[in-house]
Amino acid sequence: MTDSRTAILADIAAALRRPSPHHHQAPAPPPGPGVPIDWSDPVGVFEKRFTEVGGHWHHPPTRALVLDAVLTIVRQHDARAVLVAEDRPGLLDSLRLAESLRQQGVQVARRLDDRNRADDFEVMITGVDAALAETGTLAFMISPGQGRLATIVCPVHVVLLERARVVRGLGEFLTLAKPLLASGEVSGSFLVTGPSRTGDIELTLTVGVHGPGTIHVVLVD
Amino acid sequence: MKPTSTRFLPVADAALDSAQLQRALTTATGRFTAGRLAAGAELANWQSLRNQGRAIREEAIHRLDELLLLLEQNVRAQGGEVFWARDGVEACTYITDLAHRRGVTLAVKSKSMTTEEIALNDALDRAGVTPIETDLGEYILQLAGDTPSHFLAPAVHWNRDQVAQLFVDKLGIPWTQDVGTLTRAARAALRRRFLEAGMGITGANFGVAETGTIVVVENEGNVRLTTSAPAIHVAVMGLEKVIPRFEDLEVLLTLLPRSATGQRMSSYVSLLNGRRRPGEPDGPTEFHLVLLDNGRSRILADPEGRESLYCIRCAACLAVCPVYRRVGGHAYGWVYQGPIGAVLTPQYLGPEAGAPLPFASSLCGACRDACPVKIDLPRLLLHQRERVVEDVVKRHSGFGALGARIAGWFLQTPARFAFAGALVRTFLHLTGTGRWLRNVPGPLRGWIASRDLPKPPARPLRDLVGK
Amino acid sequence: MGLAVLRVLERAGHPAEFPAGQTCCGQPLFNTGHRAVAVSLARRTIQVLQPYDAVIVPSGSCTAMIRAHYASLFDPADPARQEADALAAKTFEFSEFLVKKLGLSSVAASCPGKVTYHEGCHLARELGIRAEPRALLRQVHGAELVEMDGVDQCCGFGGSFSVKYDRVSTAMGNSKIESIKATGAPTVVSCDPSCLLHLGGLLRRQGVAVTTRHLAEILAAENKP
Repeated sequence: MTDSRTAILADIAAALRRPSPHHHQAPAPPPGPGVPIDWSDPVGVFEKRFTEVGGHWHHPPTRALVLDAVLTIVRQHDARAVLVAEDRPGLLDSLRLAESLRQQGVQVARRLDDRNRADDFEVMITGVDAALAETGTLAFMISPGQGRLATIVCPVHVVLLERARVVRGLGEFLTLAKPLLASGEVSGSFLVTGPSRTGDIELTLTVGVHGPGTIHVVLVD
Repeated sequence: MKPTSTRFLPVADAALDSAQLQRALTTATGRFTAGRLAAGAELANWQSLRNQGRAIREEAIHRLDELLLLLEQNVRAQGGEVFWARDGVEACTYITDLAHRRGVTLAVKSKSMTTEEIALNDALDRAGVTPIETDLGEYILQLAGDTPSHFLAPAVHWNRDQVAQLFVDKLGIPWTQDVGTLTRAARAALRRRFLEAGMGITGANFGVAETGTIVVVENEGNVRLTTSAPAIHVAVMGLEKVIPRFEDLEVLLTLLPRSATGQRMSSYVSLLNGRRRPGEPDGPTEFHLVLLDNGRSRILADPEGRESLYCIRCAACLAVCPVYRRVGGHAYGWVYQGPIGAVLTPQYLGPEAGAPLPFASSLCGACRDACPVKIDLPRLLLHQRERVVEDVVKRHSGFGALGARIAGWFLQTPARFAFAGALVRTFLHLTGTGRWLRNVPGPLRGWIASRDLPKPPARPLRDLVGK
Repeated sequence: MGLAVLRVLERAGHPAEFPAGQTCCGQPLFNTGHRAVAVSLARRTIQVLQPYDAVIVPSGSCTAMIRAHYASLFDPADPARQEADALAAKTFEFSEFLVKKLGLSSVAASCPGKVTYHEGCHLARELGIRAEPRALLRQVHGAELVEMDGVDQCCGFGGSFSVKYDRVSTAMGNSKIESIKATGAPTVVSCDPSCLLHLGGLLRRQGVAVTTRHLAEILAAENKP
C-alpha cells in the first residue's frame, strides 16, 4: 500500500516537472453577478425557484396554523405512520409536532430504529438548516437527531422552514457548512433540490425513484 | 469494461442503420443541449464562471501531489481510510479484500464511470460479492448484460418497450409501457438491496483537499441510500478529481448541473466527510477512499494531453458532437464517449487500442464551445491523432506515414504541386466526359459512395494568373 | 472561384497577386496527425507569403490554420515562430478583409432571389467571423438572405473524415441539406470551398436543385440593371 502511494506521488511529481504550454496560470477574475434577482424578498425567490423544480409550497399565516398545515399534508397522503426527525434547532419540538400528530391518531416515530421497517412510513417531517433561494435548494446537515436516512427514505418529505434560514445561494451555504464539515463535527451535508427524479427511460421525467417523489415546504414565521 | 474501440466503424454503421437509436439520440442530445444553453444563458456571469472553473481545475491538476496529500490527511483525520491504487487491479483487490474481511456478500453501487473503467463489478463477482447497480439506467443495463452509452443517461439506447420486456423477464412484473410503473418496479426491487447490502460503493465528482469532503452529484437518490444504509462506504475517485478549496464548489456546482442536464442544481448533492459520528443515528461505520491512478499520472506527464484531466464529466461535449449524435456511445467502445472519450480512451488504453477515435471527428469545435471548463478538445484530438500516427502507423504498417511523406513531397514546391495537379486532372478527365464524376476508384471510394465529385477546372488558377 | 476573388478585389480598388510559389498551407496533413510534414509546408508558406503586406485567403479553414495553428507548430525559440505570428497578424479571410480592412459598404453585384449562408466551423468558431459574410450578402442587389436552422452545425466535411467516416459525414451533410432545402433558397453560399465541395456533391447526387457558390462568386457577378 505504501509502495503504491510512494510510486504514484513520485510519478505525479515527475510529470509536473514538465511544464504545459496550455497552463494559463493567471488567476481568473471572480465571476460577476449571476441571475439578476430582486433580493428584497429572498423567501419569495426561494418559493418561486422551489416550486419551479416541483416542490409544494405552504405558508400558514400564523405559527399556530403550522400544525394544521402539516396535518392536512399528512392526511392528503393518507399517511398512517410518519417519521418526525429530531432536528438540531429543536423547531419540531418547539411546535410540539409529534405530540399533536399523535393526538390526531397518526402513528409517529422519532427515529428509524429498525430500518427494515422504513417502508412503513409514508411521510418524513424534518427541519432544515438552510434554504438556497437561487436554486430552490434545501440544505440539511447530518446531526445526531436527524441522520442520513430521515431526509431520503420516505416517499413524501415535509420540511418546516424558518424564514431566517433562507440564504441567497450556494456561496452563503458553503460559508455556513464549511466549519462544521472541516472540523469533523458532522459527517456530511445534503443539498436537495426538488423531488427524486430520473429520465433514464426514454428521457421521460419520473419522480420518486429512490427518494421522495413529493416534497413540501411549510414556511414557519 | 472490455474495450472495443477498434470496431468504431461497424458499430457506427449499425447505429446509423437503427431508426430507433437515431430517434433516441436526436431527442436526448437535443434536450440536453437546449437545457444547457438555457441554464447558462440565465446567468449573466456564465462565461466568467467557465473561466473560473477552468482556473480551478488547472490549479488542481498543477498542484496534484500536494492536494492529494492534503485530501488524504483530512480524510484520515476524520476517521476515513485512504488507499492509493496504481491500477484497476490494485483498486479492485483492495475492495474485494475489504469485503471478505467484513463478510460482505452484497454491495450496492451508484453510477460511477471510474468503477466501469476498472471493471469493478467483474472483480466483485469473481470474489463472491454480488454488485447491484442502483441508478435506474445502470440497473437496466446490468439486468440486460449491456454497457453504458452516455455519461448521464447510460441506457439512452434503450426504449420503453425493451425495458418493459426486460422487467417482465427479470423482475416478473406484468408488461407495461408506463414509465412510472417501470420505475416503481425498479425502486421496489432495489429498496430491499440497499437495506441488505453490507457495502455501498460510489464514485466521486469532487474531492475537496482542504476539508476532506467527497462530493457526489445525482438525481435519483440512490447515492444518498448507498452512502446511508450499508455499514461500509467505499468511494472510488480518479485522482484528478481533487479540488483545492471548499469554496471552489460554488463555481463547480454551478457549472456541472447546468452543463449536464440544464438543471440549476441536481436533485441531490452529497457532501460527505466520512463515517458516522458518535450520536448520529445512521450512516456507515467505515469510510474508505480509493484514489485511483490507472494511467492518470501518465496523462499528466504529457504536457500536451494534460488538459484532458480537467474534465468534470458533464457530457455537454457528447450532446453537441455531431458524430456522437449519430453514432451513439457504443461506437467509442469503452467507458468514455464523445469527444472527451475520443481523447481519453487512447490515452488510457494506448494509441493502438484507441486508434480510430481521435479521427472520428470533423474537428468542428462545438465541444470546445460547450465545455464548462473550456477544455480545448479539438487541440487534444489533433494531439492524439499525432500520437496515433507516431505510435501505430509507423510501427505497424508505415503505409499511412509513407502516404503523408509522398503528399508532403508533392506539396513542397510549386512545380511538383502543379505536376501532381496535372496528374489528377488527367486521370479524372480520362474517366469520362461531363463536369461531374460518379465513380472514382481508390482512396476516394468513401467519398463517391454518397457524393458526386466535380472535376477540377481544365486549367488551374496558377496557369491563368500566376506570377 | 480564384478568379472571382481577384476580380472582386480589383473592383474594390485593391488588386491582389496570386503568388505562384504557394502550394498548400499544410492543414490536411496537420489535421491527420502528420505534424512533421505540416511543419515543412508551413515553413514554405511563411516564406512564400513573407513579401506581402496582407494575405487574403478565400477559405475559412485555411485562414484558421495560419491564424490559429501555425504558431503551435514551432518551438518558441525557433525564429519561424515569430514569422508565423507575423503572418497570422496579416492574414485575413476573404469576407473579413473586405469588411474589416477595406470597409466595403456596397458591392456592385446582383443575385436576385433567396440565398442561404453556410457557416464554416473554423471560420465561425475559431476566427469568430460570422457577421462579415452576411453583411456582404445583404448588400448584393436583389439577394434575400434566409438563415437556415442549425446554421452553427457542422456540414460533416472534416477533410479525411469525409472519406474515412463517410457514412457519418454523409449523415451530417444530409441534415444540413434538409436545413438548406427548408429555406427555399436555390443557392447556398459559403466562404469555405471544402464545405461546398461536400455539400455540392451530396446535392447533385440526390438531384436537389440547389447550387453551391463561394461568396466571391456571388460578389463577382456584375450588377446589370
